[in-house]
Amino acid sequence: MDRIIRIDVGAPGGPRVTEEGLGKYAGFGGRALTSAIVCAEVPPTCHPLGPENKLVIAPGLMAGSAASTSGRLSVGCKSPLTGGIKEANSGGQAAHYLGRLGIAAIVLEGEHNGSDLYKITVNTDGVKVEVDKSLALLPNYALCEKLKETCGDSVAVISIGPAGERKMSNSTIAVTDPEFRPSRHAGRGGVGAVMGSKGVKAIIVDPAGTKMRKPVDPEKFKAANRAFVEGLKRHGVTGQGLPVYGTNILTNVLNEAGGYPAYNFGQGQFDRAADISGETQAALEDERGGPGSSTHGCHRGCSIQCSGTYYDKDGNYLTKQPEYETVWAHGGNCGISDLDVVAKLDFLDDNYGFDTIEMGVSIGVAMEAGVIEFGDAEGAIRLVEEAGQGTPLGCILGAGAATVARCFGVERAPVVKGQAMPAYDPRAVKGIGVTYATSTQGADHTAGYAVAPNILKVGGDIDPLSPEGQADVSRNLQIATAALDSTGFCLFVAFAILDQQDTFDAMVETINAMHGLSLTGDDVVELGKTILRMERGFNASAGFTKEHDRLPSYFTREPLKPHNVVFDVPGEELDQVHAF
Amino acid sequence: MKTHGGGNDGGVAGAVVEFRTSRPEIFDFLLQEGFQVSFVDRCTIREFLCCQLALCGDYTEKNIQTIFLNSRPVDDVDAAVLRGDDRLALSAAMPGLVGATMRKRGFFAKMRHSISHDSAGGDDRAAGRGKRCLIQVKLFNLLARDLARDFLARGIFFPVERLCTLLGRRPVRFFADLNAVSVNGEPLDSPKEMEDRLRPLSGCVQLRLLGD
Repeated sequence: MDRIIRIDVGAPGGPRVTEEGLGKYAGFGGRALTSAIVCAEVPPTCHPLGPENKLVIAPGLMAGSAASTSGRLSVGCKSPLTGGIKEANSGGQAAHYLGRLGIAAIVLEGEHNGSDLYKITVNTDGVKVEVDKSLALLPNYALCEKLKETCGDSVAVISIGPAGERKMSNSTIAVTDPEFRPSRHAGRGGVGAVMGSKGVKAIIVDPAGTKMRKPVDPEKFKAANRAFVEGLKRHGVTGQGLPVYGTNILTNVLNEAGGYPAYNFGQGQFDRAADISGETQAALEDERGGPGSSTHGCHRGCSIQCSGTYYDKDGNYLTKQPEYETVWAHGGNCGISDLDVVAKLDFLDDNYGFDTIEMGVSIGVAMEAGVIEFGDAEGAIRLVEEAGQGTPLGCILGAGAATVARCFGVERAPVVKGQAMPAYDPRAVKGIGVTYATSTQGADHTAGYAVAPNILKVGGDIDPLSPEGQADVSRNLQIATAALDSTGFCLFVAFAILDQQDTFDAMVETINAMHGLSLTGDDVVELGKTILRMERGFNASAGFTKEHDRLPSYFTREPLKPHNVVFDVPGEELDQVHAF
Repeated sequence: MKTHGGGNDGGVAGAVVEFRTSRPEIFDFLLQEGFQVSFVDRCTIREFLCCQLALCGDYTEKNIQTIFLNSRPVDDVDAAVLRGDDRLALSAAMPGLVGATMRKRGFFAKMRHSISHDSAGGDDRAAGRGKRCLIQVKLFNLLARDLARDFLARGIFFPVERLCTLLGRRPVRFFADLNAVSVNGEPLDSPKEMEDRLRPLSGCVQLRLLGD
């Protein structure tokens, strides 16, 4: 995995493909690689949809190997939504296929002229760029059906829907899953619009003729990977909770805690949460699709299997199992308690190419503005359809929650750096509010997700019951997460490596055995710090100051029921998060 | 290993539904919403689980990782005191950073410090101690599956109107897993009759799993 493929879409005579070694980017993968390229090659003050911006698609360091649960794909650019650096990531099959082809990154760059729409095929013969206007404005599912006619379904497709083609600030890049469904998305920050700005509709990654990447030390790798898988299976979260209920297992717990943002962050509990809980969802999926429907992997080689398949009342595929954040965004956040409606909205988002969090929060803000009522399920579906069709109202919705709030004169836009907050109210869980405020990515729950700083010994020992030190915890989490984002391992391995030192050690050993390295925990920490320093530097040059590392002021003013708490972490403490 | 507690109600129900099943976990839809059980007032959470429900040992320590008392995450089961009409929610370990944050004594507990349960204020513990009253319990995710038998065998109280609504949403398979269903001692010809028999009633119904 030592090649970077560059596609200059503005080259004279049509797109030009060049190939180069990793050079100064050697040792980087995933988020580390996307952020390194963006920081080095994209002017921070450029327009995100302009010719100076680049879209970098990079699998993690373990892509293409037999390492368990390592199929995460990173996508980086300057974000149309936040105006800062962006790394969004996705599961699906593409990362492993790119790894097997030896490709560390695909970089889309240059100025797209005219109306040509490109289909790019990557295989063992090389890279082919073709104009295919017949793909224009096809939703993701129809696109994959059409591509299947010529490519079969043993390839992976990286694509944009109409939202990306229309360069909406809320637009995703879809990745096909093992069933060749475009159900996995690099969702956040409008990365689809940047792909659309380069005129690229789809990248077909064909692994035919390739083999799994061989480790430098096969025996050591095999033993470490076995121990890693055993650790994932042994842990209560990765071995039981997630496979049985999926991420939506969180609904009941967050709701009980009073940290479930209902009605556009208007209150911390939703009285019909049980109707849309993970428990209810898993039972419904198994009832409609047969036992086992609530357990599924987003890519082959996953040991956790946190996904599932959602069927309609007649047993037909409706969408993949909606994630917790999706069920919240379109459910409790909008006062909607019908899982079938949430699943329909999830499908529409995937099909048109919208981030479910951003779209759900946008609709919540629209509901607060009175565009439709809270709880209006049909209205919510209609709004997403409008966004997918690009009507004037739909374009406002597709521009994200901050834009919707500006257009309709609403103060309560739950955003940081222009990006919608996910499914955890920062007033109830202040530590995550610190991360929302200070992440380089805008409000992002995954920015501080790799819950292993205790094992990494980042920042030394802490007293978990002391109220002080929110910034310290958030800093350590952001560092650990940035490092994990570079490996390609799924974020959900975080829980097994939080609680089980031997599982953490096994994970690091798989990396070492794969690449012939001798990384230690300190090296992992240093990698995380390097990534964050690069990203902070980019954002600072793009015009971000400490004033952007703040939550909207109404979170400091309006108490959240039932605990009646506000976000009261001082700005001075927030400013210490990145002081390293 | 956990052990099974004996039945002992003490609440008032408009009807008593008794049944047998080898799969009590099929009632997880109800257990997640919250039900009432009788308990001895002013006990600690550990006393409630261990002494009153006989849920002691490794299972409880390892699997009941996330506890809420009146919506506040609990860190110390020996200090948090239960009172009548309190709401206690029990969950396994949760994914997500916030899931990890909610765990008892978890590494990230400080991140939710402002909503954590404060055990101070338990000075009145002696005043009403020993009186039997009701507490609302919610069982989430794996715990609903694992502890269904323990709670149902003890007898739980649930609003009858809501129960009828939820029964109406159950698949056929649910009723096939029920045997020997009776309402106020009268055997039903089919478990599916349960909803019709209960719908005219109001208040709470007691659900009780009979032994083998």
